[in-house]
Amino acid sequence: MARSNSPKGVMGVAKMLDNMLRYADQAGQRPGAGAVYLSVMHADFSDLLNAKKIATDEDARLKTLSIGATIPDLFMEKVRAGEDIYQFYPHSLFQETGREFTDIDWTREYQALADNPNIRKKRVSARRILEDIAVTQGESGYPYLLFEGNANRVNPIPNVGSIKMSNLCSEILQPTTPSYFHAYGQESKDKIGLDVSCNLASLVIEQTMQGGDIGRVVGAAIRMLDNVARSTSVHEVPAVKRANDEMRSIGLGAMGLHSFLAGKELIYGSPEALDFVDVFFAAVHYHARKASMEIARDTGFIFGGFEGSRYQSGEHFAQYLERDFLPKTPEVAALFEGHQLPTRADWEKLVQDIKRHGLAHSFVMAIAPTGSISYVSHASASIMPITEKVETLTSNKARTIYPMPHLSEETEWYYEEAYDMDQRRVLDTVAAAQKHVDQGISCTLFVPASATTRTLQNYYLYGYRLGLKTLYYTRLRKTNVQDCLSCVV
Amino acid sequence: MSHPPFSATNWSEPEDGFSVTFYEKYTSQLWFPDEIPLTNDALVWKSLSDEERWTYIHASAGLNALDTLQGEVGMPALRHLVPGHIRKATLQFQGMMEDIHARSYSLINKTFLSANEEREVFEWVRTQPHLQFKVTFIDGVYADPDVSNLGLWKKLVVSCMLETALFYSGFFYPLYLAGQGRMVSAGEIFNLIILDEALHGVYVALLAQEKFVAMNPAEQVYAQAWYEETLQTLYKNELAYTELLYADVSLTAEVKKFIRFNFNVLADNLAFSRSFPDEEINPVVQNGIRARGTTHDFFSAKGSSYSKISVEPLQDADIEAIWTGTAPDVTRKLVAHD
Repeated sequence: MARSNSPKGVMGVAKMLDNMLRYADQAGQRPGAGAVYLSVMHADFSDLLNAKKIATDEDARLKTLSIGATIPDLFMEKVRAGEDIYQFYPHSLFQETGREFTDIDWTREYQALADNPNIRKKRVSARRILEDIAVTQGESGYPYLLFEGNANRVNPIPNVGSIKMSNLCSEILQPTTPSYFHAYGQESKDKIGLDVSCNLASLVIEQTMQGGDIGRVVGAAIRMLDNVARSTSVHEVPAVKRANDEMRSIGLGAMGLHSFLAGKELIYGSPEALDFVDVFFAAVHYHARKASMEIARDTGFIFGGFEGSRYQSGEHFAQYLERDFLPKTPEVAALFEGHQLPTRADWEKLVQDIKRHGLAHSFVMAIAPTGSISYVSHASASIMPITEKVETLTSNKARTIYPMPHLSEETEWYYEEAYDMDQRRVLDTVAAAQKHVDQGISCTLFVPASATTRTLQNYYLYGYRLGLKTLYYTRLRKTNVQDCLSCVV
Repeated sequence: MSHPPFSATNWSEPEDGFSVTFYEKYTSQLWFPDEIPLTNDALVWKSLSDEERWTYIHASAGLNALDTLQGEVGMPALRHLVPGHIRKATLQFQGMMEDIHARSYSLINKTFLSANEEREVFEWVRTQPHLQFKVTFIDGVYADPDVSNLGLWKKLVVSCMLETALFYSGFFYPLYLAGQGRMVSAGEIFNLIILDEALHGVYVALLAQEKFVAMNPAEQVYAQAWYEETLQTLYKNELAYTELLYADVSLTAEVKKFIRFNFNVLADNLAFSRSFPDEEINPVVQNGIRARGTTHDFFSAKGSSYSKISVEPLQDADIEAIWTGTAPDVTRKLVAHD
């Protein structure tokens, strides 16, 4: 592998993963799934996109493996300026500089690498790459997008490492560090890095609000997740085990936003709805962090990397010390009646307590997409808008017909379907929540089949500018025969 | 002696109000069975009873024969006779998709059957009397040398009968199983095929309606009578075929209702009155034929709603608007610059 011209590119490995992951299917319940993330700065990036197109070579096709694109700020700047970028061959880059491709800080190092004639690279238009991403999303829903700059700017533990990738649902965003393994007999030289163990749960917004005490619900959820993390030990993958043991990261999310709003006769993505999202997730964040501090205080366990983190310095909580996150509109104030919402003074106290006692978890929040678990909980999925008033969900083992919660003749008007919405309302909603979520949010774009690549690219840029860390799938709704005929007539 | 000059296809001058739309819809819907991870169904396949497997595989084998007929004989015949470059191109694309459908059924066989079982199924197709009757009957209409308005209309009509009604005795079972979460990946293939056939049936029916309007009243009376008689002949054959195909899985009555339902759709498409009274069809299957795609779980299904989307370059104005915070209107298409 180390000889020049000998590396075979990423596709061979991706193809193996595609087959291998599908094989592990939980005794036939659901095929195994996995995701690979590749930087748009990588010379093989277009190959990875092609693997998801409708017409592609069988040896290159990735049938079920999910793909993600990591996009550095530098790339977005080149898109903005309408300029070309260089995509690099990592092996050549390593030979010339001794640097791992994933460790490159593109903002600082790009120009020197681009100017270095000894590094093999190719020149492409940045806008063309973004357009290709949009074309591929139209044909397959993939790739996910990870805006590296947005994720790392608010990384609370940069002292541990940088965020290089996300996961299968694009809500996990944590620093990872590489592992180095050695031959039999030399295992003592192995260096185990940090991967991620996802311990996730989701609040049902309606129930959480109905309970009258967000703090009690969130506190209980965090303690349950803490319990899950402590009972988990994936020793087959040592870097996952190590991360779980030392970082004990958890991710509390929420579901049923749209059905809750509709039940309260509020419009998804409206100023009132955004106000609610802002206040609700600020409160969840407060109580989650507080519970994590209390666990550290009461058990003495502090996650590895707290020392030197932006939690310890208080920097991560700056926004809460600047202003209160309380309802701005009377409608939302009414929803929170009876709840004790955290104030600036509460946050000041918490920040001091965190300094003193530390935190038990490197991360406490992440908003997962919640498919079938939201059906069971009588809630719409995650914080996304509904896809259909009566949804038909196809999965490996079932087709589920599910009418949205609280749908009635009176409330029907509030159940606007995602595909009929300007997606900026979805992006605004996610941006409002993202301010309070230390990891990420699975954010799907829903567009009609008439959407063009320009529509999609505008959404990417809009989301990026709002500070979104990731974009999940793009879902497309087909025009049906009736629509087809009506546009003919 | 000279040939009339050969002209080129001018897409700026549509030959009618609908062919371009259908062509675009067809091409945007292009798909290949290789995209679907059929092996996901391998365990479910093993869990099916012998009777269930028999019905499944023979229903698809019958469909394979019909799609082969459409791709090889029907569409080339129509394309040859229907005037207009754009219409010919549209029919040609339709014909290509029929061949892709035929290949899909064969891939399903290949994935789940041994070579011996495959041979048995294909031999069954060659000898199954009702299936052979259906194919021979329709092939005969395609081969009929009468290419008058009426002759061409007949060819168009039998094509619609296939696409809109006669395929559905075969579609019933895969839809029925997929609706219960069994054979879901293969079900996606059937869904994609049904999305195609729904359009094909409508397009060819529009061409047939034109021909019908162009006939004189006497011809129209004859044509209508011919339609009724043909429909009854093929319907009776279909009932017998269904009894054979579905008896062991006890679904015969349900499938027959579904066939009548689809013959009524055919009548709607051709602007004729319905031949059968309205009946409730099996809700699981009814849900499966909604031509809109569903919300799928990406980890276990590919989804039938993805398509080629049109490319429209990002504008400097878009970038400017987003970076200055005044968001552009991305939902509306740009007016083309000249």
